[in-house]
Amino acid sequence: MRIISLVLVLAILILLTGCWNSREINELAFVLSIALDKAENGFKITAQIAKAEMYSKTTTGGAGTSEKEKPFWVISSNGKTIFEAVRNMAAISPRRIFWSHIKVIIINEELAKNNILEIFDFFSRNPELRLRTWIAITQGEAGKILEIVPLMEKEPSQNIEKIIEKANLSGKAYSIMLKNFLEEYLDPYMEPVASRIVVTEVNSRPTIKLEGASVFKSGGLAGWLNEDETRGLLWLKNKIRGSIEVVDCPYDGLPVTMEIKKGRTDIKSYIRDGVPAFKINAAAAGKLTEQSCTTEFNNPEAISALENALASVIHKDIESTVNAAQKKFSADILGFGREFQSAHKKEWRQISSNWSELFKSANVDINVKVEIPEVSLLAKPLVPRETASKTPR
Amino acid sequence: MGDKSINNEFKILKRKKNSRAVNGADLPSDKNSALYKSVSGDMTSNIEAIKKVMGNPGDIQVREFAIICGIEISAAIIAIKGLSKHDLINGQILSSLMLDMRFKDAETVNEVFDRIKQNNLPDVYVNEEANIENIVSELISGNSVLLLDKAEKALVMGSQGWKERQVSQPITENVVRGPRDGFIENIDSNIALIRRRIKSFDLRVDSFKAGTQTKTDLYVVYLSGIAREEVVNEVKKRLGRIEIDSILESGYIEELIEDSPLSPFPMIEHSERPDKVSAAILEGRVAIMVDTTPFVLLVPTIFIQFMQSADDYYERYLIGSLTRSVRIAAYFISVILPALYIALTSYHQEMIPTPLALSIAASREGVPFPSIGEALIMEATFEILREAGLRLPQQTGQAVSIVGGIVIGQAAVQAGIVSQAMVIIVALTGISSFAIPAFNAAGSGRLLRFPLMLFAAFLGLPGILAGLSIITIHLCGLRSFGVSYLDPFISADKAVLDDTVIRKPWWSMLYLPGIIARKGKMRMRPGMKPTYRTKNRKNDGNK
Repeated sequence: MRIISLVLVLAILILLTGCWNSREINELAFVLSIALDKAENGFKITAQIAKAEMYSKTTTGGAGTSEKEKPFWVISSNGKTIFEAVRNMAAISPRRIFWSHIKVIIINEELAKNNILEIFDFFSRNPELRLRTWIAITQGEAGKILEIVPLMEKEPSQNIEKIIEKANLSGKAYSIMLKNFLEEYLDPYMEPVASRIVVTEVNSRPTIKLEGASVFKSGGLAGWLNEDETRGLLWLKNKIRGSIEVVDCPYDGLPVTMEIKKGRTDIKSYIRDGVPAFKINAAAAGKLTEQSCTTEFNNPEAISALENALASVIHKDIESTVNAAQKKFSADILGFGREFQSAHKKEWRQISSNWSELFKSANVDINVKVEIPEVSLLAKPLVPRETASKTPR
Repeated sequence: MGDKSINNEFKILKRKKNSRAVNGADLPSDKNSALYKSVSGDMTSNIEAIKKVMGNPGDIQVREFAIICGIEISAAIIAIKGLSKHDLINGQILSSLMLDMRFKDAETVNEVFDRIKQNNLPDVYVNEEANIENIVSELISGNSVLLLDKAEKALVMGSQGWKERQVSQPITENVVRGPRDGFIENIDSNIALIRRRIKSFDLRVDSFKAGTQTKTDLYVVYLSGIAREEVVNEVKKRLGRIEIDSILESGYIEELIEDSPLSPFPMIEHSERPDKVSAAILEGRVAIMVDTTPFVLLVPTIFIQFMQSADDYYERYLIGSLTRSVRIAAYFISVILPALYIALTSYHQEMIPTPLALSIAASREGVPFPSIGEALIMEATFEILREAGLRLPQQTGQAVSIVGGIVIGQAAVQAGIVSQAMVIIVALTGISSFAIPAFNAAGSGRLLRFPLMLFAAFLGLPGILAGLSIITIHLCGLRSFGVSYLDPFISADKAVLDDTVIRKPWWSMLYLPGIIARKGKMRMRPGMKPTYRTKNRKNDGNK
């Protein structure tokens, strides 16, 4: 009797749910990327939806008739709010639009210049969207980027995602996820930075490129960082590891490439003469990966000269970023305010109202310490023996 | 052949008056029935009585002859064809009785009887019987009976011998490395295989009988001093309450003495490997051997035992541990993989990595069933194929698997009835369930797979969690002969924990499992880890 009642209870428990919220995977339209543009009265949303059947290895379909068919489908819709635009999309899509697999959110410059609160409110509120999505700003129409067919990857979002993921290899572009962006955006003591996507041409075909970074100030896009300034930002955000710096050889001025093996930056705050001052301590370890000068970097003096050269390049990079933040945008993207607030709570209360002015004029010391523990396997430059025998100095 | 001292014969025959009778226990109440007679002085009437009790069977052999000594005595030897050794009766018993003149000066029948018993029967088992009932039961167990005219008792001679299978490789439990012998259908050969391995004075072999019709022999085998007395007594007690007409396989006993008869999990382990049974006995378990079956029951049983194979202990411990963890993983796969697939593809698409989600979606493109329907179809097909392949003769069995694999797998996918992903899932599940050494434990996984799939289809991952919770709660409550089924994960007994997911090296398993054997029994002297090399180096240095 007990068992019968147990089975009954279980059966009722299960059957009464009636598969609520169940949806088969092939009834979904997987959105891989979305682009936000400005429309006359609100937003224009462009979604790149994967055509699932194109992902099957054994599509036997009509022999070669539609061989060049794109594996994705780009649709767009307008709305006064983002959510309205999203729901308007349902009128076009036969399948339920599924937002959990979004890789990249691309936002048009004009839209980003206005209040971005509206945009990110939707993205942080909706449970179907994940926070591990990349954020990028573009100058042209964002929706167009989703229609650029990449040459290597199957579809645009995979292309953009992979480009963003390895942004720090070149050290000239910045990448950030929605989660971190929102963190910085909601932090009252600092301003956020996002990636920047531009469209260039390769072999007369439009191609996307990640370049520089976009700076936000008080909830709107303020401007762009150039490549050097972006590298300084990567140093300050401790994202530089694995990147490279090109250094002029201290002996003959020819370029030497250093791979950054370790890079760590600390920001310290002080109060000097009643105003906040900051000290940036950067510690780096590099490895020589390429040299076109003929110097043999296998003695301590040569290496320490190279270390100094690298230190001054890093110093210059960081300085340019600090300058851009203080002078060009007067936006605290470096987290100076956050650092000062946590180190000097009492003083912060007095100066916080005046912070934007104080930030602009704050004194910043930059200290760079570089170590080159190794110069890779090939210690000598690759030159024929006669020239190499005359080792300079 | 065997002499079976039936010292513990069950009192089935003396049934209670009020209880319902079991077949065969229902002896005639007529006091004048031939069964209750004792041997009378008249040999012919005795033979008739015996034949009458057995219903004058066709396979009974009666050889009447005369013994000539001081007096001439007519005698008869009765045996059952096929159950008794013909050459023993002919060549030794009959010839010694007919030709041997050692008792020729005997004057009375009783004297002749005693002389024959003392001097003339070259057999280990010779017994006097005066009761027709006992004589008949000796006859049907293969012994032969010598009746002398005018003697009021009979001589029973051990002459059991019948055709049986040779000791051969066990079919259900293959090992890569390890002994190749397996139990056969004869309990005495089987106990000999154990005794060959355990030459200990402490090995106890207690004999029982069960089955009113079959009168099957049972042995309860254990090591006294290692096995717990309460377990041994409990086994005997539970065997004692069995009242059934037949025991044809140890499965009958298993179902009659197990702790939780309604559980989907096997509560008693069985094996047809003498080495495995010996190892269990040495660990303090009690083995229940049943005549006419090669499968020996081992109690108490804990769940992790079903994941252990004899190889684990013969291969080096690293390989043993690897294969064992593979098996445990396979068990979990075989239980939850289809459910997980259903839950992920119909509720939690966000949890699948994008490329995988897309290719699953691609493979499900155009499939008319929801994933639960697809899964049930494929699982049912797989179970049918497995069952068909199992029962058919080997050559046909292969054909079935080819037809099943190619036709169902390939054609169903191409026809768009099931998705490729589901074929992969079902195949993986099926193969995983074959990786588990114990067929009965694998069966529990097969059984639980279906409710879990339904849970997943109705409730998604929370459903799977609920289902697994129900299973876990059930498992936690199970006990087998006083030992928690989930031990050692409940009692955390170190000696058993050393031998669960990983099998520690022999030199580190110092103690016998304390939850099964008596507490604190050492398996070996501590410090058995080989350290020869370092010692030698030290010695070299000293020189």
